Amino acid sequence: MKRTLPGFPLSFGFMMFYMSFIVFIPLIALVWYTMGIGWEAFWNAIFDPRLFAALRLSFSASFIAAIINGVFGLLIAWVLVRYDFFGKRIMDGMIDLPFALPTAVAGIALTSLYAENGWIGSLLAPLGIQVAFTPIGVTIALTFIGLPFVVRMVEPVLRSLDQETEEAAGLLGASPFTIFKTVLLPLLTPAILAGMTLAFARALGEYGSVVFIAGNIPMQTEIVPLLIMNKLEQFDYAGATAIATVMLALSFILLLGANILQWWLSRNLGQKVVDSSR
Amino acid sequence: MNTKTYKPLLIFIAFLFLTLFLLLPLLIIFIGAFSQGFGVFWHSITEPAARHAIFLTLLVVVVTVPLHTLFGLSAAWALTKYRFRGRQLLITLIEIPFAVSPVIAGLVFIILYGVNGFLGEWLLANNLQIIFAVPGIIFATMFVTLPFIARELIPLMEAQGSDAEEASLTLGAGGFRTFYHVTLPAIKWGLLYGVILCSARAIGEFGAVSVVSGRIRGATNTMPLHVEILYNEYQFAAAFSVALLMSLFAIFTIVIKQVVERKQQLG
Amino acid sequence: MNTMSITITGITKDFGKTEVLKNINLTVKEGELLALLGPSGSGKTTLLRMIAGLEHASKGEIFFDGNNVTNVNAKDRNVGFVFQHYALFSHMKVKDNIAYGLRVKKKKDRPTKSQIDSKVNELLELVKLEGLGERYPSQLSGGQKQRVALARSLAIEPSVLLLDEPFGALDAQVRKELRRWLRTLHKQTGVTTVFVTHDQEEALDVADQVIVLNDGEIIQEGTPSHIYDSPNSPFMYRFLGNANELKGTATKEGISIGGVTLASGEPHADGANVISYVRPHEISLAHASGNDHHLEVEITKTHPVGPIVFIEAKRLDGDRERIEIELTKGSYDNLSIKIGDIMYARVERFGTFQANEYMI
Repeated sequence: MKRTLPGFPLSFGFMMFYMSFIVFIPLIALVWYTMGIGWEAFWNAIFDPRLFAALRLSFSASFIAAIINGVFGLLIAWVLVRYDFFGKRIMDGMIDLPFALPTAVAGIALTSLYAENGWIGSLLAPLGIQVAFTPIGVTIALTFIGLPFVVRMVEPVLRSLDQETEEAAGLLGASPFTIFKTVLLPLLTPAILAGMTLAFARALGEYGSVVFIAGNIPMQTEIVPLLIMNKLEQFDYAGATAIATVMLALSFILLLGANILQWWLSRNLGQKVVDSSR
Repeated sequence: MNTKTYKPLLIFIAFLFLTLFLLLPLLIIFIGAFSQGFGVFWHSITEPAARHAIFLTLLVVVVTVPLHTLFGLSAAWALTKYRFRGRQLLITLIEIPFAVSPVIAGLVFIILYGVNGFLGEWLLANNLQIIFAVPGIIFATMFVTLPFIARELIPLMEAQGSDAEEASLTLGAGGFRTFYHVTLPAIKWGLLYGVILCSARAIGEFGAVSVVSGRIRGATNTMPLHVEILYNEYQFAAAFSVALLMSLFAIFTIVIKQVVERKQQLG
Repeated sequence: MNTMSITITGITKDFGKTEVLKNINLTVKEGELLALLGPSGSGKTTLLRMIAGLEHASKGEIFFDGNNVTNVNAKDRNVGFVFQHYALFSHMKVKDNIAYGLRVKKKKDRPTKSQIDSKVNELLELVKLEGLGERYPSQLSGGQKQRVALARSLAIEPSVLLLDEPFGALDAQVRKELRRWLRTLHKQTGVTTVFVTHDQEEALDVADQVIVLNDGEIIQEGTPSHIYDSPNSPFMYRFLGNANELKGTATKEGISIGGVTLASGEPHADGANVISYVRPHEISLAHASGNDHHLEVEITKTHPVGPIVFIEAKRLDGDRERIEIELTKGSYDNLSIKIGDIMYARVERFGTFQANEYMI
């Protein structure tokens, strides 16, 4: 097909070359390497109680963090779209902090905050709640890094919704809670789910903000990325790549899921919902 | 619906949540940095190891960001100005680095260029070192930050369509002139934000870089790795001082985003 | 200005399996103002973009003054193109928009700064936007933007001027004003001009020649009055406006509709089912049956709008179909028509087509 605007071969060619060189070839190399280690080494790396424990922690902490972000993300998006108040722009800017702040910085800041002698940790310690170096700490770090996803995904959808529908429901005698449940929530659910999926995917792979607060005790507070790191430090490349390949497959499934949700969203709202997250 | 009654409560909850998760961590960085006075702060960011970490980080940014800018512009041009099969798929593929754990992003380069990796022997024979050296850090950073500029530009250029470019063409301008005079001015704010966000992420990349760096102090330490070392050595004030530098850039990034959004809304 | 004729031979365009243009042949004479008229999806915009070089044909050739330009790039065709949504460069002032085509010329062809300035002023005057050169497009109204777009395209002294639904995004009032003005402008510049529209009134009002497209094919071409007076197909009647459809049978004497025979110039096979199209204002009414050309109708509705009265009537012959009639206020008053009156409708003009020509 002939194209009228010039530059397609050049721009397309450079894009493909660059993506292949930086992303595709290295990823394929990983999968290739894993295929070369043999089934036995692969199963040995996968059927490891330490990995199971790490997976359990990574999944449960990421899941809880995604739920927290789902609830509060919706609330914050609502506040930002529907209300005007002092400090709104600051709040809006703050939402993006987890995208812009280096993860290691977030990690040491959260650890200092929630350590037993920290500002919040010292308040919780008398109640017998220990946050730092426990799964709770891991969950808090993962909540931090996943915070913008739901907000930024729900915001444009909420903004595009016609307030007349709600007003009509109100005129028909529905209470605010009923209106929210029956009119708004069904429309917002796909966006919330898409945001939560992205937050969950990001949380599964997160490293920097977690390592400091987790304490990294094997079988207890060791997340999957850290386990890969440990294997690497022991030069167990086979083990590291086996786990990495499994993680990669999981991530792609999640990315696919988030994309299907986003695709559904843009189709059903008749517009492109651009999430400004990340 | 009458949500006015809930307004103060909901705003309060939102602020409380954000204070707990965002504001306090940010505040503690500022307080931590100056906990032992300005002198310690200044020393922490000017001593040789810190200076070298800052230099190396800037080097990574200076290599990564211009290349990513070129990539972002190419990808956005190819994927928004033409219609072809697989276009949507490619737009999705650009986002792959988001879905990959930074640790894995580092690992893939060890597999490729490490001593036991696919190209390890060849590199060794030619006396080239990538892993546990600066090129490895750059590759790992490039992997992780690849999507940032492209994903800012693609929706923007998609929304703008090709009419202006076509008009320029019929007026006798060629491809590069059209791009420079028509396309670039129309996307400059989005591009600016993309570039700054990409820089912020390149500065702050930790997981991927820590896999490939070898953590040789004064040789392969970027700022986040330097922070980690200081923190693990219980030099909290010094760790927070370097962290503060990076946080300031993060805040700058957010301010730019707000400015750019306002500019784009104004037209 | 050195303007050119356009000749198109055998142009075909397919996007995958769908053919949007099927073997199009046409000529636009030097200095002519031609309208490409058609419903949406008829292929008219694609054809216009091909003339500009913004789209490429799957088959066929395009000539400017006999020179084959089929493979010439858009940037080298020297055409003026005006987009429906203006496509102004929003970051440039009005005067810089207009000067753009001159400034991007190769150094040896580029006019001097002062030449460009005076050209811009001349064009601002031509499009009646004197004094607005320093504004940005966002500070202009839709009509003003479109005039800037026109000035910009004229700056390069194009061989042909192409306009894609130029008034489509404007209010009805502005649209009427601008199309008259386009006529005048065309007289002044004399540039061969092709514009695309889906509005038949606009096409008939503005153009010297009209080409009607449907489904990628040319249905009819000719002067506006020819197109209006002699639509060549049921599609044309329907597209040009509401016409009554009267089912009938062809006989040796003419067309038999509900027992009334109308003389027809065109021969149709004896006994064939035909449909005659009659425009509402080409029917007259009388209280008494004069000669045998009168259909008996009952008046069911009258609706005066300004100088015209819209009348609905029911045929009293076998079909009992509803027909629409338009009378001037004067003749309506003279006849003192009331609802329920039985009257006789006389068909003044009509077009007849074999029923299977359009039956699907």
